[in-house]
Amino acid sequence: MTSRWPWLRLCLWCAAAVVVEVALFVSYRGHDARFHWFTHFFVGASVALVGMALVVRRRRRPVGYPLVWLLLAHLVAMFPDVLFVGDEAHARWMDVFLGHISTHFVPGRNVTWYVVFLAALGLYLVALNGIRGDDARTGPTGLRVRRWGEGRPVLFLHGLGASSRYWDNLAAHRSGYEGIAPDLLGFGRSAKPRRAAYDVDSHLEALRSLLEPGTLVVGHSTGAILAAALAAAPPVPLAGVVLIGLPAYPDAATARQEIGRLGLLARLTVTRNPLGWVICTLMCALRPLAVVVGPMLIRDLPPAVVADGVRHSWPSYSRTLQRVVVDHRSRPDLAAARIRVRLVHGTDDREAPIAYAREAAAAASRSGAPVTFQEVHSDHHAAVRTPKTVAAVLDSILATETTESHV
Amino acid sequence: MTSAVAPPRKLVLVWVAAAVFFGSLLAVARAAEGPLDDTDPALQRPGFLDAGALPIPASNVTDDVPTPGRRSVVFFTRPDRLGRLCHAVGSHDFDDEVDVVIVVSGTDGRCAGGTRVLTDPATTRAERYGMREPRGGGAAVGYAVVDADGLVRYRTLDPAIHDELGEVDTILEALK
Repeated sequence: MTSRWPWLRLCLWCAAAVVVEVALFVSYRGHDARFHWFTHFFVGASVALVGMALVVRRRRRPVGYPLVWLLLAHLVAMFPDVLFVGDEAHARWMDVFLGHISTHFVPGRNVTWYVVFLAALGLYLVALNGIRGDDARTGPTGLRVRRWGEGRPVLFLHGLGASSRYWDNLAAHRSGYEGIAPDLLGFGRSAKPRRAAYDVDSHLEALRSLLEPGTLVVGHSTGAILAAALAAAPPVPLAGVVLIGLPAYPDAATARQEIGRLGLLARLTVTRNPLGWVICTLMCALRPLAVVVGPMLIRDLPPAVVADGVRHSWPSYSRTLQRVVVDHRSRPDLAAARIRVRLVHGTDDREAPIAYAREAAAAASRSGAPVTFQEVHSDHHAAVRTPKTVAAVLDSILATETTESHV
Repeated sequence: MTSAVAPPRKLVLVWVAAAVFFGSLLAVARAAEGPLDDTDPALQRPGFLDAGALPIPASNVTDDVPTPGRRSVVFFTRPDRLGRLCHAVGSHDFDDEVDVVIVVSGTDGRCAGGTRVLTDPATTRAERYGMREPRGGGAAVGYAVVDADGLVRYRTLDPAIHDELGEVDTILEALK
Protein backbone atom coordinates (compact mmCIF):
# COMPACT_ATOMS: atom_id res chain seq x y z
CA MET A 1 0.00 0.00 0.00
CA THR A 2 2.72 2.39 0.95
CA SER A 3 4.58 1.77 -2.28
CA ARG A 4 1.55 2.99 -4.22
CA TRP A 5 1.08 6.00 -1.99
CA PRO A 6 4.47 7.10 -0.66
CA TRP A 7 2.92 10.30 0.72
CA LEU A 8 0.76 8.15 2.97
CA ARG A 9 3.87 6.55 4.41
CA LEU A 10 5.30 9.98 5.10
CA CYS A 11 2.10 11.11 6.79
CA LEU A 12 1.96 7.94 8.89
CA TRP A 13 5.37 8.88 10.27
CA CYS A 14 4.12 12.42 10.90
CA ALA A 15 0.98 11.13 12.58
CA ALA A 16 2.97 8.71 14.71
CA ALA A 17 5.27 11.52 15.86
CA VAL A 18 2.31 13.78 16.70
CA VAL A 19 0.46 10.99 18.55
CA VAL A 20 3.53 10.18 20.65
CA GLU A 21 4.02 13.87 21.50
CA VAL A 22 0.39 14.25 22.55
CA ALA A 23 0.70 11.11 24.69
CA LEU A 24 3.82 12.51 26.35
CA PHE A 25 2.11 15.82 27.03
CA VAL A 26 -0.88 14.07 28.60
CA SER A 27 1.49 11.92 30.65
CA TYR A 28 3.25 14.99 32.05
CA ARG A 29 -0.10 16.66 32.61
CA GLY A 30 -1.16 13.66 34.68
CA HIS A 31 1.80 14.34 36.93
CA ASP A 32 0.98 18.02 37.11
CA ALA A 33 4.29 18.72 35.38
CA ARG A 34 3.43 20.15 31.99
CA PHE A 35 6.32 22.56 32.27
CA HIS A 36 8.63 19.55 31.93
CA TRP A 37 7.17 18.73 28.55
CA PHE A 38 7.70 22.28 27.33
CA THR A 39 11.28 22.50 28.60
CA HIS A 40 12.43 19.24 27.12
CA PHE A 41 10.43 19.57 23.93
CA PHE A 42 11.80 23.04 23.21
CA VAL A 43 15.36 22.01 24.06
CA GLY A 44 15.20 18.72 22.13
CA ALA A 45 13.48 20.30 19.14
CA SER A 46 15.99 23.15 19.09
CA VAL A 47 18.93 20.74 19.03
CA ALA A 48 17.23 18.69 16.31
CA LEU A 49 16.47 21.79 14.21
CA VAL A 50 20.05 23.05 14.43
CA GLY A 51 21.26 19.58 13.42
CA MET A 52 18.77 19.47 10.57
CA ALA A 53 19.92 22.90 9.39
CA LEU A 54 23.54 21.70 9.32
CA VAL A 55 22.56 18.57 7.40
CA VAL A 56 20.57 20.61 4.90
CA ARG A 57 23.50 22.95 4.38
CA ARG A 58 25.93 20.08 3.94
CA ARG A 59 23.85 17.71 1.85
CA ARG A 60 22.05 20.44 -0.08
CA ARG A 61 18.67 18.75 0.21
CA PRO A 62 15.85 18.64 2.77
CA VAL A 63 16.03 16.03 5.52
CA GLY A 64 13.52 13.21 5.54
CA TYR A 65 10.85 12.91 8.25
CA PRO A 66 11.58 16.19 10.07
CA LEU A 67 8.94 15.57 12.74
CA VAL A 68 10.61 12.29 13.63
CA TRP A 69 13.90 14.15 14.17
CA LEU A 70 12.11 16.43 16.64
CA LEU A 71 10.46 13.52 18.41
CA LEU A 72 13.69 11.56 18.79
CA ALA A 73 15.55 14.59 20.16
CA HIS A 74 12.69 15.22 22.59
CA LEU A 75 12.83 11.60 23.75
CA VAL A 76 16.54 11.96 24.43
CA ALA A 77 16.02 15.21 26.34
CA MET A 78 13.26 13.76 28.53
CA PHE A 79 14.81 10.33 29.09
CA PRO A 80 15.66 11.00 32.79
CA ASP A 81 11.93 11.45 33.41
CA VAL A 82 11.43 7.89 32.20
CA LEU A 83 14.11 6.84 34.69
CA PHE A 84 12.32 8.82 37.40
CA VAL A 85 9.15 6.86 36.74
CA GLY A 86 11.35 3.81 37.17
CA ASP A 87 12.36 5.06 40.67
CA GLU A 88 15.62 6.77 39.70
CA ALA A 89 15.89 10.25 41.20
CA HIS A 90 17.26 13.03 39.07
CA ALA A 91 20.93 13.83 39.46
CA ARG A 92 23.39 16.26 37.94
CA TRP A 93 24.94 13.71 35.60
CA MET A 94 21.61 13.55 33.77
CA ASP A 95 22.59 16.80 32.12
CA VAL A 96 24.14 14.56 29.45
CA PHE A 97 20.57 14.21 28.17
CA LEU A 98 20.58 17.61 26.48
CA GLY A 99 20.91 19.44 29.80
CA HIS A 100 17.93 17.76 31.42
CA ILE A 101 18.66 19.28 34.84
CA SER A 102 20.28 22.62 34.02
CA THR A 103 17.77 23.63 31.39
CA HIS A 104 15.20 24.13 34.15
CA PHE A 105 17.34 26.85 35.70
CA VAL A 106 18.10 29.25 32.86
CA PRO A 107 16.65 32.74 33.33
CA GLY A 108 13.20 33.00 31.84
CA ARG A 109 12.76 29.23 31.93
CA ASN A 110 10.26 27.98 29.35
CA VAL A 111 9.79 31.37 27.74
CA THR A 112 13.52 31.43 27.05
CA TRP A 113 13.40 27.95 25.54
CA TYR A 114 10.38 28.94 23.50
CA VAL A 115 12.40 31.81 22.00
CA VAL A 116 15.39 29.49 21.41
CA PHE A 117 13.08 26.99 19.69
CA LEU A 118 11.69 29.67 17.38
CA ALA A 119 15.23 30.82 16.56
CA ALA A 120 16.30 27.25 15.77
CA LEU A 121 13.20 26.75 13.63
CA GLY A 122 14.04 29.96 11.80
CA LEU A 123 17.60 28.74 11.24
CA TYR A 124 16.32 25.48 9.74
CA LEU A 125 13.84 27.26 7.48
CA VAL A 126 16.55 29.67 6.33
CA ALA A 127 18.78 26.66 5.53
CA LEU A 128 15.92 25.13 3.56
CA ASN A 129 15.41 28.36 1.69
CA GLY A 130 19.14 28.44 0.95
CA ILE A 131 19.00 25.26 -1.13
CA ARG A 132 16.12 26.46 -3.24
CA GLY A 133 18.54 27.26 -6.05
CA ASP A 134 20.03 23.79 -5.91
CA ASP A 135 16.59 22.29 -6.00
CA ALA A 136 15.83 24.29 -9.13
CA ARG A 137 19.09 23.19 -10.70
CA THR A 138 18.25 19.55 -10.17
CA GLY A 139 14.98 20.19 -11.93
CA PRO A 140 12.11 17.77 -12.38
CA THR A 141 14.43 14.82 -13.12
CA GLY A 142 16.23 15.19 -9.82
CA LEU A 143 19.64 15.36 -11.51
CA ARG A 144 22.28 17.84 -10.46
CA VAL A 145 23.79 19.19 -13.69
CA ARG A 146 27.04 21.11 -14.20
CA ARG A 147 27.60 23.09 -17.36
CA TRP A 148 30.59 24.85 -18.88
CA GLY A 149 31.59 26.44 -22.16
CA GLU A 150 29.54 27.44 -25.16
CA GLY A 151 28.85 25.82 -28.50
CA ARG A 152 27.65 22.40 -29.58
CA PRO A 153 26.15 20.44 -26.67
CA VAL A 154 28.26 17.59 -25.34
CA LEU A 155 26.67 15.41 -22.68
CA PHE A 156 29.12 13.71 -20.30
CA LEU A 157 28.03 10.59 -18.38
CA HIS A 158 30.26 9.49 -15.52
CA GLY A 159 30.87 5.96 -14.29
CA LEU A 160 29.72 4.00 -11.25
CA GLY A 161 30.42 5.71 -7.93
CA ALA A 162 31.56 8.93 -9.57
CA SER A 163 29.93 12.28 -10.26
CA SER A 164 29.94 15.12 -12.74
CA ARG A 165 33.23 16.28 -11.22
CA TYR A 166 34.88 13.30 -12.90
CA TRP A 167 35.09 15.46 -16.01
CA ASP A 168 36.88 18.40 -14.36
CA ASN A 169 40.25 17.60 -15.96
CA LEU A 170 38.64 17.38 -19.36
CA ALA A 171 36.65 20.57 -18.78
CA ALA A 172 39.94 22.36 -18.11
CA HIS A 173 40.81 21.66 -21.76
CA ARG A 174 37.60 23.25 -22.84
CA SER A 175 37.00 23.69 -26.47
CA GLY A 176 34.20 25.05 -28.60
CA TYR A 177 31.39 23.11 -27.02
CA GLU A 178 28.95 23.37 -24.14
CA GLY A 179 29.73 20.70 -21.60
CA ILE A 180 26.68 19.26 -19.84
CA ALA A 181 27.63 16.90 -17.02
CA PRO A 182 24.89 15.50 -14.79
CA ASP A 183 25.38 13.45 -11.66
CA LEU A 184 23.64 10.23 -12.67
CA LEU A 185 20.44 9.32 -10.86
CA GLY A 186 21.41 8.04 -7.42
CA PHE A 187 24.95 9.42 -7.51
CA GLY A 188 26.76 12.59 -6.53
CA ARG A 189 24.33 15.30 -5.53
CA SER A 190 21.45 14.03 -7.62
CA ALA A 191 18.30 12.55 -6.13
CA LYS A 192 18.59 9.01 -4.80
CA PRO A 193 15.06 7.63 -4.83
CA ARG A 194 14.99 4.35 -2.96
CA ARG A 195 12.44 2.74 -5.22
CA ALA A 196 14.05 3.63 -8.55
CA ALA A 197 15.00 0.66 -10.71
CA TYR A 198 18.46 2.05 -11.51
CA ASP A 199 18.51 0.01 -14.70
CA VAL A 200 19.46 1.33 -18.13
CA ASP A 201 15.93 2.53 -18.88
CA SER A 202 15.50 4.47 -15.64
CA HIS A 203 18.90 6.15 -15.99
CA LEU A 204 18.15 7.12 -19.59
CA GLU A 205 14.70 8.35 -18.64
CA ALA A 206 16.25 10.64 -16.04
CA LEU A 207 18.70 11.94 -18.66
CA ARG A 208 16.08 12.45 -21.37
CA SER A 209 15.47 16.15 -20.78
CA LEU A 210 19.21 16.84 -21.19
CA LEU A 211 19.29 15.43 -24.69
CA GLU A 212 18.70 17.84 -27.50
CA PRO A 213 19.15 17.25 -31.22
CA GLY A 214 22.79 17.37 -32.28
CA THR A 215 24.20 16.42 -28.86
CA LEU A 216 27.44 14.47 -28.72
CA VAL A 217 27.27 11.96 -25.86
CA VAL A 218 30.44 10.99 -24.03
CA GLY A 219 30.25 8.18 -21.49
CA HIS A 220 32.81 6.63 -19.20
CA SER A 221 32.52 3.05 -17.95
CA THR A 222 28.95 2.66 -16.66
CA GLY A 223 28.18 5.96 -18.37
CA ALA A 224 29.56 4.42 -21.58
CA ILE A 225 27.07 1.54 -21.26
CA LEU A 226 24.27 4.11 -21.04
CA ALA A 227 25.70 6.05 -23.97
CA ALA A 228 25.90 2.86 -26.04
CA ALA A 229 22.24 2.22 -25.31
CA LEU A 230 21.51 5.74 -26.53
CA ALA A 231 23.43 5.00 -29.72
CA ALA A 232 21.15 2.01 -30.36
CA ALA A 233 17.94 3.92 -29.79
CA PRO A 234 18.55 7.66 -29.71
CA PRO A 235 15.42 9.51 -28.50
CA VAL A 236 16.55 12.53 -30.55
CA PRO A 237 19.02 12.76 -33.44
CA LEU A 238 22.48 12.72 -31.82
CA ALA A 239 25.79 13.90 -33.26
CA GLY A 240 27.56 10.77 -32.08
CA VAL A 241 28.70 8.80 -29.11
CA VAL A 242 32.13 8.45 -27.51
CA LEU A 243 32.59 5.49 -25.19
CA ILE A 244 35.57 5.69 -22.83
CA GLY A 245 36.48 2.48 -21.01
CA LEU A 246 33.34 0.60 -22.05
CA PRO A 247 32.91 -2.59 -19.96
CA ALA A 248 31.81 -4.72 -22.92
CA TYR A 249 31.67 -8.04 -21.09
CA PRO A 250 30.36 -10.81 -23.33
CA ASP A 251 28.00 -12.23 -20.69
CA ALA A 252 26.85 -11.78 -17.10
CA ALA A 253 29.05 -14.56 -15.74
CA THR A 254 32.16 -12.93 -17.19
CA ALA A 255 31.01 -9.57 -15.89
CA ARG A 256 30.64 -10.96 -12.38
CA GLN A 257 34.03 -12.63 -12.60
CA GLU A 258 35.81 -9.50 -13.86
CA ILE A 259 34.06 -7.17 -11.42
CA GLY A 260 34.70 -9.56 -8.56
CA ARG A 261 38.42 -9.05 -9.07
CA LEU A 262 38.16 -5.30 -8.55
CA GLY A 263 37.40 -5.05 -4.86
CA LEU A 264 35.57 -6.43 -1.88
CA LEU A 265 32.45 -4.29 -2.12
CA ALA A 266 32.08 -4.90 -5.85
CA ARG A 267 32.53 -8.65 -5.34
CA LEU A 268 30.02 -8.78 -2.49
CA THR A 269 27.53 -6.76 -4.50
CA VAL A 270 27.63 -8.82 -7.67
CA THR A 271 27.42 -12.03 -5.64
CA ARG A 272 24.46 -10.51 -3.75
CA ASN A 273 26.17 -11.08 -0.39
CA PRO A 274 24.31 -9.24 2.46
CA LEU A 275 27.68 -8.15 3.80
CA GLY A 276 27.85 -5.80 0.82
CA TRP A 277 24.81 -3.97 2.12
CA VAL A 278 26.36 -3.75 5.60
CA ILE A 279 29.61 -2.29 4.25
CA CYS A 280 27.87 0.16 1.94
CA THR A 281 25.51 1.29 4.72
CA LEU A 282 28.47 1.77 7.04
CA MET A 283 30.26 3.80 4.40
CA CYS A 284 27.15 5.93 3.91
CA ALA A 285 26.92 6.48 7.68
CA LEU A 286 30.55 7.55 7.74
CA ARG A 287 30.24 9.62 4.58
CA PRO A 288 31.28 12.97 6.12
CA LEU A 289 34.47 11.27 7.34
CA ALA A 290 35.02 9.35 4.10
CA VAL A 291 34.69 12.52 2.05
CA VAL A 292 37.59 14.01 4.01
CA VAL A 293 39.77 10.94 4.51
CA GLY A 294 39.20 9.28 1.12
CA PRO A 295 41.24 11.77 -0.92
CA MET A 296 44.14 11.35 1.52
CA LEU A 297 44.19 7.60 1.01
CA ILE A 298 43.52 7.42 -2.71
CA ARG A 299 46.09 9.60 -4.38
CA ASP A 300 45.90 8.55 -8.01
CA LEU A 301 42.55 10.23 -8.66
CA PRO A 302 41.57 13.89 -8.20
CA PRO A 303 40.33 14.55 -4.63
CA ALA A 304 36.91 15.66 -5.86
CA VAL A 305 36.43 12.38 -7.72
CA VAL A 306 37.40 10.33 -4.66
CA ALA A 307 35.23 12.42 -2.35
CA ASP A 308 32.22 11.94 -4.60
CA GLY A 309 32.91 8.21 -4.69
CA VAL A 310 30.83 7.75 -1.53
CA ARG A 311 27.94 9.97 -2.58
CA HIS A 312 25.50 7.25 -3.47
CA SER A 313 23.05 4.96 -1.71
CA TRP A 314 22.98 1.19 -1.48
CA PRO A 315 20.02 0.91 -3.88
CA SER A 316 21.63 3.24 -6.44
CA TYR A 317 25.03 1.55 -6.22
CA SER A 318 23.98 -2.09 -6.05
CA ARG A 319 21.17 -1.89 -8.60
CA THR A 320 23.22 0.11 -11.11
CA LEU A 321 26.12 -2.32 -10.78
CA GLN A 322 23.85 -5.34 -11.11
CA ARG A 323 21.35 -4.12 -13.68
CA VAL A 324 23.51 -1.88 -15.85
CA VAL A 325 27.04 -3.28 -15.64
CA VAL A 326 26.37 -6.98 -15.04
CA ASP A 327 22.99 -7.69 -16.63
CA HIS A 328 22.97 -5.29 -19.57
CA ARG A 329 24.92 -6.19 -22.72
CA SER A 330 26.45 -3.38 -24.74
CA ARG A 331 27.47 -5.57 -27.67
CA PRO A 332 23.95 -5.70 -29.17
CA ASP A 333 23.67 -1.94 -28.61
CA LEU A 334 26.87 -1.34 -30.58
CA ALA A 335 25.72 -3.63 -33.36
CA ALA A 336 22.42 -1.77 -33.52
CA ALA A 337 24.02 1.69 -33.43
CA ARG A 338 22.54 4.06 -35.96
CA ILE A 339 24.90 6.93 -35.23
CA ARG A 340 28.66 7.14 -35.18
CA VAL A 341 30.26 5.52 -32.18
CA ARG A 342 33.88 5.90 -31.16
CA LEU A 343 35.31 3.61 -28.50
CA VAL A 344 38.29 5.12 -26.69
CA HIS A 345 39.97 2.55 -24.50
CA GLY A 346 43.03 2.54 -22.28
CA THR A 347 45.59 -0.12 -23.09
CA ASP A 348 46.09 -0.76 -19.37
CA ASP A 349 42.43 -0.80 -18.42
CA ARG A 350 42.04 -3.30 -15.57
CA GLU A 351 38.41 -2.57 -14.75
CA ALA A 352 37.15 -3.04 -18.30
CA PRO A 353 39.75 -5.14 -20.12
CA ILE A 354 40.47 -3.77 -23.56
CA ALA A 355 40.07 -7.14 -25.26
CA TYR A 356 36.32 -7.22 -24.66
CA ALA A 357 35.86 -3.71 -26.02
CA ARG A 358 38.00 -4.43 -29.05
CA GLU A 359 36.00 -7.58 -29.81
CA ALA A 360 32.70 -5.75 -29.36
CA ALA A 361 33.77 -2.92 -31.66
CA ALA A 362 34.98 -5.36 -34.29
CA ALA A 363 31.76 -7.37 -34.15
CA ALA A 364 29.65 -4.24 -34.45
CA SER A 365 31.74 -2.98 -37.31
CA ARG A 366 31.37 -6.30 -39.13
CA SER A 367 27.62 -6.03 -38.81
CA GLY A 368 27.74 -2.66 -40.54
CA ALA A 369 27.37 -0.33 -37.55
CA PRO A 370 29.42 2.90 -37.74
CA VAL A 371 31.66 1.92 -34.82
CA THR A 372 35.39 2.72 -34.60
CA PHE A 373 37.93 1.79 -31.97
CA GLN A 374 40.83 3.86 -30.64
CA GLU A 375 43.47 2.83 -28.13
CA VAL A 376 45.09 5.33 -25.81
CA HIS A 377 47.95 4.86 -23.37
CA SER A 378 46.01 4.96 -20.13
CA ASP A 379 44.25 2.86 -17.56
CA HIS A 380 40.47 2.90 -17.02
CA HIS A 381 40.44 6.66 -16.45
CA ALA A 382 41.58 8.09 -19.78
CA ALA A 383 39.59 11.30 -19.30
CA VAL A 384 41.41 11.90 -16.01
CA ARG A 385 44.91 10.69 -16.98
CA THR A 386 45.10 11.94 -20.56
CA PRO A 387 42.50 14.69 -20.84
CA LYS A 388 44.37 16.29 -23.74
CA THR A 389 44.06 13.12 -25.81
CA VAL A 390 40.37 12.73 -25.05
CA ALA A 391 39.76 16.43 -25.70
CA ALA A 392 41.46 16.01 -29.08
CA VAL A 393 39.15 13.09 -29.88
CA LEU A 394 36.12 15.21 -29.04
CA ASP A 395 37.46 18.12 -31.07
CA SER A 396 38.01 15.89 -34.08
CA ILE A 397 34.50 14.43 -33.89
CA LEU A 398 32.91 17.83 -33.41
CA ALA A 399 34.97 19.24 -36.28
CA THR A 400 33.85 16.40 -38.53
CA GLU A 401 30.27 16.94 -37.51
CA THR A 402 30.53 20.65 -38.22
CA THR A 403 32.07 20.02 -41.63
CA GLU A 404 29.41 17.50 -42.52
CA SER A 405 26.61 19.77 -41.42
CA HIS A 406 28.06 22.52 -43.63
CA VAL A 407 28.25 20.12 -46.59
CA MET B 1 12.25 12.85 -7.32
CA THR B 2 13.66 15.55 -5.07
CA SER B 3 11.73 16.97 -2.18
CA ALA B 4 10.75 20.40 -3.38
CA VAL B 5 11.44 23.24 -0.97
CA ALA B 6 8.33 25.24 -0.22
CA PRO B 7 8.29 28.88 -1.37
CA PRO B 8 9.54 31.49 1.13
CA ARG B 9 6.01 32.61 1.97
CA LYS B 10 5.14 29.09 3.11
CA LEU B 11 8.32 28.81 5.15
CA VAL B 12 7.44 32.04 6.94
CA LEU B 13 3.94 30.68 7.45
CA VAL B 14 5.35 27.53 9.05
CA TRP B 15 7.41 29.66 11.44
CA VAL B 16 4.47 31.89 12.36
CA ALA B 17 2.17 28.88 12.80
CA ALA B 18 4.70 27.20 15.11
CA ALA B 19 5.15 30.44 17.09
CA VAL B 20 1.40 30.88 17.51
CA PHE B 21 0.69 27.21 18.26
CA PHE B 22 3.41 26.65 20.85
CA GLY B 23 3.02 30.14 22.30
CA SER B 24 -0.69 29.51 22.79
CA LEU B 25 -0.06 26.06 24.25
CA LEU B 26 2.44 27.52 26.68
CA ALA B 27 0.00 30.26 27.68
CA VAL B 28 -2.88 27.81 28.12
CA ALA B 29 -0.72 25.48 30.21
CA ARG B 30 0.37 28.39 32.37
CA ALA B 31 -3.23 29.55 32.77
CA ALA B 32 -4.28 26.03 33.74
CA GLU B 33 -1.99 26.01 36.76
CA GLY B 34 -3.84 25.80 40.02
CA PRO B 35 -3.63 28.28 42.91
CA LEU B 36 -1.46 25.85 44.88
CA ASP B 37 1.13 25.51 42.14
CA ASP B 38 4.54 27.11 42.36
CA THR B 39 4.97 30.56 40.89
CA ASP B 40 7.91 29.09 39.03
CA PRO B 41 6.69 25.75 37.69
CA ALA B 42 10.27 24.62 37.10
CA LEU B 43 10.68 24.30 40.86
CA GLN B 44 7.56 22.20 41.32
CA ARG B 45 8.07 18.45 41.39
CA PRO B 46 11.07 18.26 39.09
CA GLY B 47 12.38 15.33 41.15
CA PHE B 48 16.05 16.27 41.21
CA LEU B 49 18.27 16.62 44.21
CA ASP B 50 20.46 19.57 45.20
CA ALA B 51 18.96 21.93 42.64
CA GLY B 52 18.81 25.67 43.05
CA ALA B 53 19.97 26.81 46.53
CA LEU B 54 20.09 23.30 47.98
CA PRO B 55 21.40 21.70 50.08
CA ILE B 56 20.90 23.79 53.21
CA PRO B 57 20.96 22.79 56.88
CA ALA B 58 17.51 21.73 58.05
CA SER B 59 16.10 23.46 61.10
CA ASN B 60 14.42 21.35 63.77
CA VAL B 61 10.73 20.77 63.23
CA THR B 62 10.49 18.92 66.54
CA ASP B 63 13.09 17.96 69.12
CA ASP B 64 13.91 14.74 67.31
CA VAL B 65 13.25 15.65 63.67
CA PRO B 66 15.60 15.70 62.00
CA THR B 67 17.75 13.22 63.90
CA PRO B 68 21.36 12.71 62.82
CA GLY B 69 21.72 9.42 60.98
CA ARG B 70 18.05 9.25 59.96
CA ARG B 71 16.29 10.65 56.95
CA SER B 72 13.17 12.76 57.34
CA VAL B 73 10.21 13.89 55.30
CA VAL B 74 8.42 17.04 56.38
CA PHE B 75 5.05 17.53 54.71
CA PHE B 76 3.46 20.98 54.65
CA THR B 77 -0.27 21.23 54.15
CA ARG B 78 -3.39 23.22 54.98
CA PRO B 79 -6.19 22.23 57.38
CA ASP B 80 -8.70 21.44 54.64
CA ARG B 81 -6.22 19.05 52.98
CA LEU B 82 -4.92 17.37 56.11
CA GLY B 83 -7.36 14.46 56.11
CA ARG B 84 -6.39 13.25 52.64
CA LEU B 85 -2.69 13.56 53.40
CA CYS B 86 -3.04 11.76 56.74
CA HIS B 87 -4.87 8.92 55.04
CA ALA B 88 -2.25 8.67 52.30
CA VAL B 89 0.72 8.83 54.66
CA GLY B 90 -0.90 6.46 57.16
CA SER B 91 -1.46 3.82 54.53
CA HIS B 92 1.95 4.27 52.91
CA ASP B 93 4.83 2.02 53.88
CA PHE B 94 7.78 4.34 54.54
CA ASP B 95 11.23 2.97 55.27
CA ASP B 96 11.84 2.24 58.98
CA GLU B 97 14.76 4.65 58.98
CA VAL B 98 12.63 7.56 57.86
CA ASP B 99 10.91 10.02 60.16
CA VAL B 100 7.68 11.54 58.86
CA VAL B 101 6.10 14.73 60.16
CA ILE B 102 3.18 16.74 58.85
CA VAL B 103 3.12 20.49 59.48
CA VAL B 104 -0.34 21.97 59.08
CA SER B 105 -0.89 25.69 58.70
CA GLY B 106 -3.70 25.80 61.26
CA THR B 107 -4.29 25.75 64.98
CA ASP B 108 -5.53 22.22 65.27
CA GLY B 109 -4.68 18.96 63.61
CA ARG B 110 -4.47 15.23 64.23
CA CYS B 111 -3.91 12.17 62.08
CA ALA B 112 -6.02 9.10 62.72
CA GLY B 113 -3.19 6.81 61.69
CA GLY B 114 -0.80 8.13 64.33
CA THR B 115 1.40 10.22 62.03
CA ARG B 116 2.88 13.14 63.92
CA VAL B 117 1.19 16.45 63.13
CA LEU B 118 2.46 19.87 64.13
CA THR B 119 0.46 23.04 63.92
CA ASP B 120 2.10 26.12 62.51
CA PRO B 121 -0.47 28.84 61.79
CA ALA B 122 2.25 31.42 61.21
CA THR B 123 3.98 29.13 58.65
CA THR B 124 7.35 29.88 60.21
CA ARG B 125 8.55 26.28 59.82
CA ALA B 126 7.74 26.36 56.12
CA GLU B 127 9.69 29.58 55.78
CA ARG B 128 12.68 28.07 57.57
CA TYR B 129 12.68 25.22 55.09
CA GLY B 130 12.55 27.67 52.20
CA MET B 131 9.14 26.49 50.98
CA ARG B 132 7.78 28.91 48.40
CA GLU B 133 4.41 30.62 48.47
CA PRO B 134 1.95 29.12 45.97
CA ARG B 135 0.58 31.14 43.07
CA GLY B 136 -2.68 31.78 44.91
CA GLY B 137 -0.82 32.91 48.02
CA GLY B 138 -1.06 31.46 51.50
CA ALA B 139 0.71 28.55 53.15
CA ALA B 140 2.93 26.17 51.24
CA VAL B 141 1.55 22.77 50.22
CA GLY B 142 4.33 20.32 49.53
CA TYR B 143 7.21 18.59 51.24
CA ALA B 144 10.89 18.70 52.03
CA VAL B 145 13.28 15.77 52.31
CA VAL B 146 16.17 15.86 54.79
CA ASP B 147 19.11 13.48 54.52
CA ALA B 148 20.91 11.67 57.33
CA ASP B 149 23.35 14.58 57.66
CA GLY B 150 20.55 16.99 58.46
CA LEU B 151 20.59 18.74 55.09
CA VAL B 152 17.53 19.68 53.07
CA ARG B 153 18.22 17.97 49.76
CA TYR B 154 14.85 18.38 48.11
CA ARG B 155 11.79 20.57 48.50
CA THR B 156 8.84 21.21 46.31
CA LEU B 157 5.32 22.51 46.24
CA ASP B 158 3.04 19.65 45.35
CA PRO B 159 -0.72 20.01 45.76
CA ALA B 160 -1.22 16.38 44.69
CA ILE B 161 1.37 14.72 46.90
CA HIS B 162 -1.22 12.45 48.53
CA ASP B 163 -1.44 10.67 45.17
CA GLU B 164 2.31 10.63 44.46
CA LEU B 165 4.02 9.32 47.59
CA GLY B 166 6.01 6.92 45.39
CA GLU B 167 7.99 9.96 44.26
CA VAL B 168 8.96 10.63 47.90
CA ASP B 169 10.20 7.04 48.14
CA THR B 170 12.35 7.61 45.05
CA ILE B 171 13.93 10.70 46.60
CA LEU B 172 14.48 8.93 49.93
CA GLU B 173 16.01 5.92 48.23
CA ALA B 174 18.48 8.18 46.41
CA LEU B 175 19.56 9.67 49.77
CA LYS B 176 20.40 6.34 51.42
